[in-house]
Amino acid sequence: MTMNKLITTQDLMQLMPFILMLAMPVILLIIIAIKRNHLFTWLFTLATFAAVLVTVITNFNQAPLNIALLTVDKFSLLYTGVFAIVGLVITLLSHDYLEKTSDHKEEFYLLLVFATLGSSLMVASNNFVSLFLSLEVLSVSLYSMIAYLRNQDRAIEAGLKYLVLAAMSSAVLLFGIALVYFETGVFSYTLIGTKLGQIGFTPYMVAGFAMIIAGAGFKLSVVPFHWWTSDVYQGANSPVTSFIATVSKGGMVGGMIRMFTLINGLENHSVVLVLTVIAAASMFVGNILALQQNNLKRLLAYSSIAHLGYILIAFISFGNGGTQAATFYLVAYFATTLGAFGIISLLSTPEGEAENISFYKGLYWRKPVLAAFMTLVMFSLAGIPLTSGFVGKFFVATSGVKADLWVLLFFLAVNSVIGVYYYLRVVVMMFSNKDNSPETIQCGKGISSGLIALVFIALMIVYLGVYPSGIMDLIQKSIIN
Amino acid sequence: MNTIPVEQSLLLAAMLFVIGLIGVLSRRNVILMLMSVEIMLNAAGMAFVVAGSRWVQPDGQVMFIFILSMAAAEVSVGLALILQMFHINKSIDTKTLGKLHD
Repeated sequence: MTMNKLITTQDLMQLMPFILMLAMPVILLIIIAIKRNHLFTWLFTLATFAAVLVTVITNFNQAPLNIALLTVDKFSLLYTGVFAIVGLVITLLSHDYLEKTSDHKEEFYLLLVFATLGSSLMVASNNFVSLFLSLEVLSVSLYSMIAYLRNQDRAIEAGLKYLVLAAMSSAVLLFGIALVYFETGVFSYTLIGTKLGQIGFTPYMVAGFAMIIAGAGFKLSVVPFHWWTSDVYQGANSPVTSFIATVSKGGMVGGMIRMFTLINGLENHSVVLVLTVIAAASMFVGNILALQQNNLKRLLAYSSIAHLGYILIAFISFGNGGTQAATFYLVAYFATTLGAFGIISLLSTPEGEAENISFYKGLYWRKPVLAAFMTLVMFSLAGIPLTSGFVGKFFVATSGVKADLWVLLFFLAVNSVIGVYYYLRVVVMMFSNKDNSPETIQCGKGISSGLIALVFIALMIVYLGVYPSGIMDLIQKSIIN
Repeated sequence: MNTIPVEQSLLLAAMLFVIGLIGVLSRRNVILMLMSVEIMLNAAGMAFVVAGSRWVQPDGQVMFIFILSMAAAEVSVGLALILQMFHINKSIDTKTLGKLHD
């Protein structure tokens, strides 16, 4: 008689990236309870993300692991690896920021690792139960991260707004899952896909999927679920904002790619139509709202709505290299966004964040290095050649051409032009006349761990822009079959 | 034996969900907004129980337990934030919020 093992050592090894992200913060929690030390906590968190990255790399070529709730394959490992790198960068940025703004710094890193875990698990989820649970791990960590500087009323306001709206969107997502479960009797994506092939889109299924798309759309902040974005981006502190813009959205994109691949959801015309309308509306609304914006964080919030619209184009052109394009665009966008918020957090002072565009007036004459970084970032956001943003848009457009999405591609072109205007406005502001620059504004200290992070980001932006095939080969290898 | 059709139970869940949704959108008191969100979450939970009973599976009820624990975590963070909001604003009316705008 053979013992049927529930889980083997091999399985545990393959789950190691997730186990690490779960275990290390718990250990850290105990250490913090005994003795607080910011530097140690910071180093421990860096080590955690580095260890996650190492296990991701060593596990990358293993055969996919399928257990009840999770699929650990190349796709989820790729996303987990990217999230770990983003986590590293945000940890580097957070140290100086927390040092100058917060009196209780250590718990921030716990929340950061837990939220990254939630995002990674979301990509690895192969059914709705784990999707929901990982989404909540991410969300609940985010509520506390957004309101982390608890003495600032704007942080509390942003946290409350996000909490109420995110909880509401979770409820919508849950009701959608319940309707799908009511109709099919299963939670697993693959089984739902089979069931869907048999019974087709019944009214319950249509309602269910509409609610699931709405719940997911909230996390992605696409139109018409985008209302929270600008307020939360502005109210949260910059390292957290960069997390919301990158890992939180990336997790949901990855989770949706897996879900729609396994369910074959994009073979239905009405689903494609709904996503097309959302993509077009996101591009236009995001860019038009960003045009008049004088607050850099709000500008980036609106521009993120537009960028998610671009990613949706790739998403819709699914089988035509769309998933690869969406993943590449995400990575390119991660690098760019981290750069933008990295500079904001470096320039922020305990009195306030460097979020007003007038603050950047004549920045080149005061902080030439940072101004050069910011120029690179803005070029990348605008999609100027030799930056990651350009190559990302190129891949999105290629997949769109293959899928014959001509209307959306036309909108993409129009919106890229609108985008160039407001991104370059920031650049022009930075190089404007020295005499007009507000000399009284104090800048944060320049040389720090955050600066190391910025150099890394700048190298990534140029690397992805000049030699995209390095990453693209990796992405090609890790598509879901 | 009289049994309630599953569609009717689902309809009840949907009605509760809409009541909660209207509550979130119309209330100006943050605690009442949180309570309305709770109604929405529990309505979704009820829909899971109904669906589980349709397929005679325990999965729906298991999901309900998950929803309960997640809602508890959410409310604990929410109440902490509301306390802090009261501490700063001396009010829990959403009208006193508004530092963040264009």
